Amino acid sequence: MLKKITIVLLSLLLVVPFLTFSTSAAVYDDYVVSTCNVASTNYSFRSAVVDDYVGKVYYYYPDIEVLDLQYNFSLSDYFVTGDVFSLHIELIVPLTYRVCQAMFGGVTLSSWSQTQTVDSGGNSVYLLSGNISGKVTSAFSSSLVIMLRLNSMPQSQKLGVKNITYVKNNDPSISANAAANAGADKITGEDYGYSEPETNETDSGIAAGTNLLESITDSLDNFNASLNEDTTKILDDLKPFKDFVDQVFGFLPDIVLYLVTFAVMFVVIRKVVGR
Amino acid sequence: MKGIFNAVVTFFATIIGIVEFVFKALILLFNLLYQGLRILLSVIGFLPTPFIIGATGLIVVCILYKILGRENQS
Repeated sequence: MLKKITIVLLSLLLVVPFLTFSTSAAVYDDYVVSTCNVASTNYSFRSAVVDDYVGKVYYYYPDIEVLDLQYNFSLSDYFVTGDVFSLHIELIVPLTYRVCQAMFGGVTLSSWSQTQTVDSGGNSVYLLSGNISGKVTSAFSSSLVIMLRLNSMPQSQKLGVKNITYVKNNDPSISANAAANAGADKITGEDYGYSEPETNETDSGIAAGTNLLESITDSLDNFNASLNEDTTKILDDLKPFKDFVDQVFGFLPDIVLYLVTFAVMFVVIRKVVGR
Repeated sequence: MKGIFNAVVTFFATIIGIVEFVFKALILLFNLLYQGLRILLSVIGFLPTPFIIGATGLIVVCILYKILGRENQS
């Protein structure tokens, strides 16, 4: 029975990562993607390029709990009203981040895919990537706001934007697909009598549940990362004791050590076998 | 239909998220055990060599005795 359970668990361990990754496959392969280098465009922040961090590099201090990063897009350069837009955002953040949301043009992104990596400074960081897509309306906001919520950290650590890729998609065929995806298609747009509730409590509940699940999953990742670091620190702290213990046992002659060992082994084996 | 599709997608995304969480928790538990063993082995490494050899021998002898004892019963 135990063997069967082990085989099933191992099989799932092999399959689950593929399932997870297949659901987060990029949908931008069919689009003409332009890369907008954050550092080279006219943003409101300083255009420092430090290591892997493009754009403004923030130094995070322990007393900050919620941090709003605001990137001002110059919309007249990129989008006009009616454009179908997509943004692909990549951030480098410390391992201790908890919630990360981005808002652009009234559209909110709440889910990110994250990869743990190491920046050129040797720090373990998360590379977060997420997508926002929508249609430019007259009430389009011109700023991209990224909100990060971070746990307290013992020392300052950098975080910043690595890359922002935007897609301006005015190709008629692709726009048609986008319109279909938005619900204009006769089949997908038909709700068969279903009417959305007046209040969006259900949607809010689902979103809250999703955020909670992501939050506790992230907390596991954070704990895992801090566990490795803490263990290494404990092992480093233990090293000075080795010299002390060696000196203590160094006073005892070898013959005493062997006699004690033999005596303990004799007594234990006698006790075990004698029962 | 779009609402139904969204519900189905959300449902399976949640299921996958829960499975991901469970396996991450399992991996965390194994990691916890592994890190505990690292610390334990490092502390054991402080002891003199005769003690380590003796303790290892005792463990082997006790396990063998236990196994052989069970085989005699069956």
